[in-house]
Amino acid sequence: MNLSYLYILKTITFLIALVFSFGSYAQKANFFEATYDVFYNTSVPNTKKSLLQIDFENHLSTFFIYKGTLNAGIKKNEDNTISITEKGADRYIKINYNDDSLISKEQINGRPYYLKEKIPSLHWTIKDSEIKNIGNLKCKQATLKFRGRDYIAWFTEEIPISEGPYKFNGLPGLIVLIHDITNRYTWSLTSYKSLNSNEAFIKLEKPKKFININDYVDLRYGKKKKLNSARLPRGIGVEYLKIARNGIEIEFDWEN
Amino acid sequence: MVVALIAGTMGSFANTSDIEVNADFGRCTVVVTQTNSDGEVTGTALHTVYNVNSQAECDKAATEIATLYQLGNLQMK
Repeated sequence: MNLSYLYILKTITFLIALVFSFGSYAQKANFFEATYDVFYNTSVPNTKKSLLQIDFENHLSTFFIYKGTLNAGIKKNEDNTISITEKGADRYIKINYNDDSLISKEQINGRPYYLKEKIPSLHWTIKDSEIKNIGNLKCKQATLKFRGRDYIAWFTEEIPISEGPYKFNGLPGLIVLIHDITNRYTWSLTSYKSLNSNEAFIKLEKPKKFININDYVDLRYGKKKKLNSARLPRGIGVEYLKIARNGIEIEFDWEN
Repeated sequence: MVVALIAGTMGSFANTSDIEVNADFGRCTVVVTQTNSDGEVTGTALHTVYNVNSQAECDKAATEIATLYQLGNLQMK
């Protein structure tokens, strides 16, 4: 056996090993689960737990967002302001790579809506020189502009899974931390594991009706709030203030 | 005409520190802010209460307004 033959053999063996090692994380197990802490530094700051469940077999990824720390109710404050917190609910975002669809269960005015849209194209910029360790994971930085907000993400190629929290995906590794540049919205990985079965996966209800992204924008931001002023006691007037868009998504493709 | 200056807390008398309350035409403002379960503001209503002559009357009106919301008689939709 001459040297060049040995070299070729070694190279082939190395390449085969490399291919297997890349695929191994995802392929060893057909399912994957990660948990994230969610922090919304909004007008009433709050935290939520969330869960990412990935089904590699069926090319599905679902991100569940649990109700969180805010309790629904009406409170009169000492300064005579009144705070109303709408009822929350568990929500989810389901990405189906088979039919390029993204379904999200939204809660608007205390009512559930199922939004169906195409999987948004996310144009990440990866910064190879920006590296830091988060926990024991070596992470690389990527930035993204998505629907009116600028994000900084830290992802790890040690877990070569192109998913993350919320609607974020498409990086060459799992997103470990992502926040918008104003730190209003933050998602951070708290645990992850591969699974051999999806028995423990959450079963989703079948939506009866969908709204599209335009409907969503109308429902969420389009209408000025109203009140049945006939029910106001005499001697009390009312005026409504127009609220600026203040959710995670504030600009949409057709508006540019 | 009696004019009184009532400091601060009189309604969110809107974010000002001193509020002029006219004994004949006094009024105060009660701000109602609605947020969703993500803590994002989804609606703001300013209720102007007319013919208010004191802080106590404004407090009372604010309590009445809060009760109307609690009972569901007033709802921001």
